[in-house]
Amino acid sequence: MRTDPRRLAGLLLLLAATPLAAQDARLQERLPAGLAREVQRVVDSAARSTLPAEPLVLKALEGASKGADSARILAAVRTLATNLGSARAALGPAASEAELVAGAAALRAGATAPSLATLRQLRKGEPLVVPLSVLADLLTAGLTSDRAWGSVREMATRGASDAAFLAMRDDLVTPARGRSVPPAAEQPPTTPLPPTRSRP
Amino acid sequence: MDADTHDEAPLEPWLAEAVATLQQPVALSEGYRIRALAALGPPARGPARRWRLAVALPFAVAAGLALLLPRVPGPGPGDGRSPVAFHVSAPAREVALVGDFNNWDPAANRLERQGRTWNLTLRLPPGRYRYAYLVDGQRWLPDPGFPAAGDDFGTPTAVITVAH
Repeated sequence: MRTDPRRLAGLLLLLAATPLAAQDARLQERLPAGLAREVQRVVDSAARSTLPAEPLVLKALEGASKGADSARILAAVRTLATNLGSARAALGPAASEAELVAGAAALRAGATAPSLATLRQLRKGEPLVVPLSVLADLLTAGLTSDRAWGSVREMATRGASDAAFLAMRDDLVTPARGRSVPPAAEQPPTTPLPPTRSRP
Repeated sequence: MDADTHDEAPLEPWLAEAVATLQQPVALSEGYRIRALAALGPPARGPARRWRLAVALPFAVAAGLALLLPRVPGPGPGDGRSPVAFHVSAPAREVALVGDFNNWDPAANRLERQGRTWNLTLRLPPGRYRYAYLVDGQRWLPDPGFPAAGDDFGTPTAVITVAH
C-alpha cells in the first residue's frame, strides 16, 4: 500500500500541533516562556502516568505569584509530581485527585508511603482527604512521626468521622497557633483573629 | 254534509281596539331595565369561575408567605461545596485572598473591609487548599487561625481542609 505524502505530512503537522494546543494557558500567561515549557513537560509526563495536572499547574502559579525564581518553581513542581506518584502508588489507582493532593502533602511533611497504604486499608471505601490532610498538618506542626501517625491510625482504626479528625488536629495543633511572636521590628502590622471559620 | 267552514265575523269596535293595543311592542325605559336587573342580583357564579379561584388562591397565599418569610440562605445549589469564611485583621488598604482555589491570582478575591477586619466567604469543594493573604499587594500573611503549610517558596502559607 502506498502512502500519500500529502496525507502523511498533514498527520505529522497535526501531531506536532497537538502538544501546543494542550498547553495550559495559565502557564503561558504567568510564567516566563522557558519555564512554562519546562513545567508543561512535567505536567505532560505526569498526565501520561494518569496523575492529575491541576496540582502541578497550581504549584507553578503559586511560585509565580510569590516571585520565586524559575529554578525554585521547577524544583517544587517536580517534587510535587514525585510525591503525587508516590501517593498514587500507596493509595491505589482509584484515589481521587483531592486524596492524591492530601497524600502528597503528607509525604512532603514526612509521612511514609506504607502509612498511606495502611490508612487506605483502614478506611476502605471512604474518602481519605481529611485523614491524610490532618496527618500532613500534624507533621508540619512539628509533631513527631510516631505521635502524628499514631494519632491518625488510632482514629482511623475506630472509624472516626472527618469532623473528629479535624477536632483532634485542632486539639493537638492549637499550641502551635500561639507560635512565637517575632520581634516588633520584624512583626507585620497585623493582628490575628481567633479562628471563626465555618466548617462543614 | 257540507264542509265545515268558519266565516270571520267583524269584531266589535271596542274589541278591535283592545287587540290592536295588545299587539303593540312593549317599550321599557332604560331606568326600568337597570332597576329590574338590580332586583335580580348579580349573575350566578358558574363552575368554571369557582375552579379558577380554587387554583389561583393557593398560589396567591404561597406568594404572600414567600414575601413575609425571612431571607435565610439556603443549603446551596447542591454542588458539594461548603461555605468557608475567611477573616483577617490588618491595617491595610487592600487584602487579597490568594490560593489553590483561585489560581494564586491576587486579583481574583479581594476581602471586604469591616472596620479593621477583612472578610470573604467562598464556597469550596472538599479538598486540601493552600492559601495566604496578600496585604497591599506586598506582604504575604498566613492565616493565624489555621495550620501553617509546608512552603516551597519561603513565604508564609496556611492550609484549610474542607471535608466531604
